[in-house]
Amino acid sequence: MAQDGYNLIEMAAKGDRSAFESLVKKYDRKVISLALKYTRSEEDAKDIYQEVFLRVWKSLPGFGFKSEFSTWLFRIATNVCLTYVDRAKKHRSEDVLENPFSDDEDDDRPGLQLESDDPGPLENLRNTELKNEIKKAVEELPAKQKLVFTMKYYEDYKIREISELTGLNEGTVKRYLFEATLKLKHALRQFYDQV
Amino acid sequence: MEHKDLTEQIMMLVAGEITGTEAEKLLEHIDSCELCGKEYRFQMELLSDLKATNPEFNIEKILTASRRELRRTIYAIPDKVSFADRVKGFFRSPFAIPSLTGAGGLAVGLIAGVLFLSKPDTTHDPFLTTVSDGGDHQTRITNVMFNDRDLKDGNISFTFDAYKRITISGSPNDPGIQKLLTYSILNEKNPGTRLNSINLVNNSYDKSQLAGVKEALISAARGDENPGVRLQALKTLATLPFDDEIKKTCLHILVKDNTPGNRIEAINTLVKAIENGFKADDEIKSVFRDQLEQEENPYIKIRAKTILDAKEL
Repeated sequence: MAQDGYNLIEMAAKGDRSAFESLVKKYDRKVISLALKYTRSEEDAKDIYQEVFLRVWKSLPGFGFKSEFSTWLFRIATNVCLTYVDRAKKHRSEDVLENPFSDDEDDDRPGLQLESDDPGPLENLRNTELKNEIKKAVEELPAKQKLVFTMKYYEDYKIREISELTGLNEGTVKRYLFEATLKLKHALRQFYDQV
Repeated sequence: MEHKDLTEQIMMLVAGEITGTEAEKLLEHIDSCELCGKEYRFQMELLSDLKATNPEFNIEKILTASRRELRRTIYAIPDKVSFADRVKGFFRSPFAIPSLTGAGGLAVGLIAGVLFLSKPDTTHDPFLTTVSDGGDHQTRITNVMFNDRDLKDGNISFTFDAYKRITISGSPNDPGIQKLLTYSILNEKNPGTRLNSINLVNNSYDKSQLAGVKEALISAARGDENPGVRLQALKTLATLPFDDEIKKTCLHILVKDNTPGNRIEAINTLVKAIENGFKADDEIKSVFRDQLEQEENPYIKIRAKTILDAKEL
């Protein structure tokens, strides 16, 4: 750990709020990114962000440099993600079912960015339906599988990193990924010729 | 291998977790097997669709708002008060004098009762006192142990620890300062202090002057309970002229340290030394060969293999 990082942690642990803010800025981008990909909701991700860093602020005096700070922080983040109750989940599922062609209400961008310039109306329909079905299938995964799946396929963590950050052993991470892939395969079989 | 097992291997391949010759073998099989080929194409397409449906957010905007809210919350929380400050606060409070008077009276009564009314006991009876001032305001006494409280011979005897808080400043070249740093690296309970001591050594000394603390650095690199302290000790050792002691330390870390980052630092240090002319002896070769079989980290395996394959060996 670099000396300035170590000093920041020490000062923040003693109650220095300015040092804590600097420390937060070193890591919060990854935390918010994970929360956003996991919840797919700006509001939920913001709540997770607040809870993670409040826990860090309160627990910092007991950190004791027993591990890397980033590992400790992301353990807290993954635990908060897992225990977080998505209040809006039910409403979003209903919106998708009732209006499958609407854009994601949390997404500021106009919609799905397709690779080809003009895929045609049938392809557009397929892509929109697929997007909604993928979202629904991922949302329905059990919490730990969903977290591991999000970290692997949306945040590009390696399996070893996921194991370290979640505290799960690598075999369990692989099993969760495999089970999640099988569930998606079953849920999305209508979209793929090969399945 | 069953096709079910291969499905999992294909998932690992598509996810980028299998590389090198293992990946090549699997791809050869995929090319020749209809079932596995189908599975591979499905997983590649699924991965592509997952990436395409990766939710997009305006992270900068969300971060700014979240940081602002966190700031408000943190500054609204009452200050963390250390134990020392709470004690000072108690002494400033109006309840301090009556509380201390009552507690003091109770303590005196207990001590008097134990000393004068209890039966003489020749066995050692440790009796811990609170820290007391021995007249010299800077001297502190603790762990008082009464060896003999029997007043029949007119004497009592006890042993105690006495310590004095000292401030010392001087040149890092001073042997006294070096001793203190060595003590701090090896014995301080707080890992942050041990780390600070190592960093001070790293930043303050000419490499020729580090001989006095080299043993402490070796001990810390091998055996400190904190991985960050072990790493920093190793990095400081790596700045010294590479010798047999440092070689053995690197090999010990490579074999025994649980933290991958430390093992990576150790092998990097060894490889750099070998590239600069240090002889890769049988001990090094033996450990490197073991690493190829037992080490999980692919980077370490690659580094070990590179050295073993090099012509000069």
